[in-house]
Amino acid sequence: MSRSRKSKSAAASSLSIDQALSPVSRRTFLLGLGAVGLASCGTSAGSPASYDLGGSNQLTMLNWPDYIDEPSNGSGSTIEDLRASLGIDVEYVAEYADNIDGFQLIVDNAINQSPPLYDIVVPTNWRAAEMIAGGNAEPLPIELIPNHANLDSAYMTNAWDRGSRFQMPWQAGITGIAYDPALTERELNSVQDLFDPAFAGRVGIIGEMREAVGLAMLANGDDPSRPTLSTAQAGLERLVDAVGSGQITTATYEDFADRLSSGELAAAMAWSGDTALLLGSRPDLKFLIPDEGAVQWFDTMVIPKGSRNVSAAGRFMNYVYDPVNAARITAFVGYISPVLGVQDELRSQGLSDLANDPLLFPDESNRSRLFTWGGLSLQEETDLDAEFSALIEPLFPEE
Amino acid sequence: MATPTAPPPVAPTSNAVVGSQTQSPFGPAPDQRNVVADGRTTPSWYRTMAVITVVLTLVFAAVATAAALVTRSASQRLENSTAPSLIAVQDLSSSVAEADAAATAVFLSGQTGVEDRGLRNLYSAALSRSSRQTEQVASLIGADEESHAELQNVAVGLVDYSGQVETARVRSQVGQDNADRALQAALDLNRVEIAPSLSIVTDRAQEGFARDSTEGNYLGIAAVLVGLLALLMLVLLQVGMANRSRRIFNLFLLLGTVALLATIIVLGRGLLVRQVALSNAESGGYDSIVATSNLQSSVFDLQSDLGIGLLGNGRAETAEALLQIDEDVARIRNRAVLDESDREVAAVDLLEARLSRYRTSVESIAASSGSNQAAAIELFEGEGLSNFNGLNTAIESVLSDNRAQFNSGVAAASDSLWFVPFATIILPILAALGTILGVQRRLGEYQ
Repeated sequence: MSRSRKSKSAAASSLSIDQALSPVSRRTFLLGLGAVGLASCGTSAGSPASYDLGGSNQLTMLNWPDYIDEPSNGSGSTIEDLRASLGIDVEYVAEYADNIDGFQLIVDNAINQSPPLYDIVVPTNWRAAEMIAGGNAEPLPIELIPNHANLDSAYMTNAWDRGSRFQMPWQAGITGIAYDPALTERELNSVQDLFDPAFAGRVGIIGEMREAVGLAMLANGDDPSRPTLSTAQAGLERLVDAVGSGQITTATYEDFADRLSSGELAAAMAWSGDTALLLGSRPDLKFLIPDEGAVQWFDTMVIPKGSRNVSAAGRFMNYVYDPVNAARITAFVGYISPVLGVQDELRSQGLSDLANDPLLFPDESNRSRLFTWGGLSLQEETDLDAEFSALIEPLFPEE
Repeated sequence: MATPTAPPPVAPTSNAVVGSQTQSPFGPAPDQRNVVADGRTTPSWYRTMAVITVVLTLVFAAVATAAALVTRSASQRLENSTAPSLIAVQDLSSSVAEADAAATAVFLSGQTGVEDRGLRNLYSAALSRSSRQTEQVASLIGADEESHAELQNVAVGLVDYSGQVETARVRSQVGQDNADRALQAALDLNRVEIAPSLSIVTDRAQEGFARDSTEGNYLGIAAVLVGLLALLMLVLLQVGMANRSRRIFNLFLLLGTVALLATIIVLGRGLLVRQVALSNAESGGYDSIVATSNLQSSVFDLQSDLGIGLLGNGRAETAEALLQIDEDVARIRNRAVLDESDREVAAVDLLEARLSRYRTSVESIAASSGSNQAAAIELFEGEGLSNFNGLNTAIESVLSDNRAQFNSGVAAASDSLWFVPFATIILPILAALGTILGVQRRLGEYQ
């Protein structure tokens, strides 16, 4: 069983937490701000005149649900404006369910067709790394993406794609710790706190292997950005022990927010984007990047091998890497933008609360403590995935 | 005195010389065209020409096959070891320079607070990559003793170097004053011991590339000349035969001519394609690799100097270094423009955008250095490092494209010759057989 980060977020709007909490949720708030502040923003580098419109103008993109702005209050959306300004006929499919089953069922089948069904897919970084290593990705048409220069260099040093030649990150997030100080009765500052017997039975584990094991590796003093099989297994063992001893009793995806809010959990491994949503209505809760660090992930745009619309894909990427357009998306989705200049753009739009949000724009000291999963061999990761799934399956609450 | 019954002499033809032979009274007189001036008969001429042609054809086959085998072997060596070693040496130089720059940054971060783990990882990765690449180069350079000796120096130097860096790190952690000196000693070791050895290995690798690129060329030219001579003889044989027999068309000789001509074309084309591919690989790929590697080294040196400067060990000559970097970038842009590649030009555009950000950081760091050391160090570790990483990975992207172009050229050179040795054996043998059969047939008709 696997669950998705964003698809569940999409569902979250109908979950009890959002109904019970403040009537102006973060997303609603952001939507409003986004609509007011950014509706009038045109494109700069994304103007059609700056593009060679040769080649195909068709584009089919597969992305996670709720991961791009939507038309609101009479304003257009990124997709609508892109269609109008670039003349690209975009079919935007928000059905990427998750990186395991979803990838196998949708993307694998899609990219194995000739030509592939999608011209851009947005898997998470480790899955993108597998695509690239397997030769299933087209090189980016950088001659059509001058805004590639706006990519934050933090996303360019991955060993599996130095310089980001085969993928461009869409949005990024942090898996850290969210907790309720009223329940923990003290401030938390370390991953070790998740293993404090005082919280036994009230700690949640996130359902993504690389993030949960990554955090456990940090607790062990290991580096998840350079994992070895032994350090990863040691991290997994740490989790196995915690589950065995009853320290960790609940596995979650985005529903960690519900369970924290209801008091079922005192602390949980948590996603920054969903926590940002939660903090809008429960500012008493806290999100922590532990002293040892936290796991950063990003979902990234990849052009499947054999796409016949590489040119349109390149122009699309260039468009969404214009800080003006990227800011509009950031304001809606609430995740970390990989595009330089978004923070300034938000400020210039008067959205300084967003521009100053540490979950959207981690400062240098926090950024230096973020680790992106470095990857093991495919077989090793498959084995770890299987062990991890066996560990957490019984921990998912009955729905 | 002539008898009245004697037949009149046959008038000589334009292309047969009348000799002393007269018509035999015992049968039909042989055609005067079958008689040569020096006394040899036409069959004898056929046989002589055929033997010369066949011998030349076989010599051509031998020389052409030798040339094809030698050039193919050199091309395969280029593809499998010489070119990879050339790239591996460049990679090794870059890794050592990267380790150098990272070592300084790690040290600086350790001095001003908690050692930056990301930087430490970068340093460790660059250092272990250097060791791995040293072994890789050693496995690719074959039996070149001088290169092996220099690589041995590099390997030993890298061990000493990492030891010095660790010494500096430990001294820094325990607060010893002489930590900076240990780091400086490590950097000096790199510049005085490791870099010169790498330079020699690079030169040797380049010599190897030049040698393998041209090996077999003279033999190939000689083969083509012999082939042309054999072809000429075969053509003359056919012309002579046509004149003597009034038969223009001899199927076997014609097939032989086609086979010989095809061999020459196949060999000549293969050699030409190989040379063009190698030339493209060198000018479009390798020269760009060198230019880009030089740029990368310049950037690493500047970053390292900046760090050293912030440690109080002298002031980095940023203006001069940035000028050098500009020249390197201009060189890369020229190559990209010459290659008429939109992708390469775009890559250089991106590189320049990253360079512009890095330049701003460097100038800010240099301006703050001394007057506001804390601010300078914060810039160096934060925005400066981020912009350095952006520039460095952008350079790597350009390098990667250049490598792909270089490898593609070398592979094309190797592919251009794979079937040529088969052609240079089989086709000339067919040509020789055609010659023999053609002449035999004509002789049979003659009989």
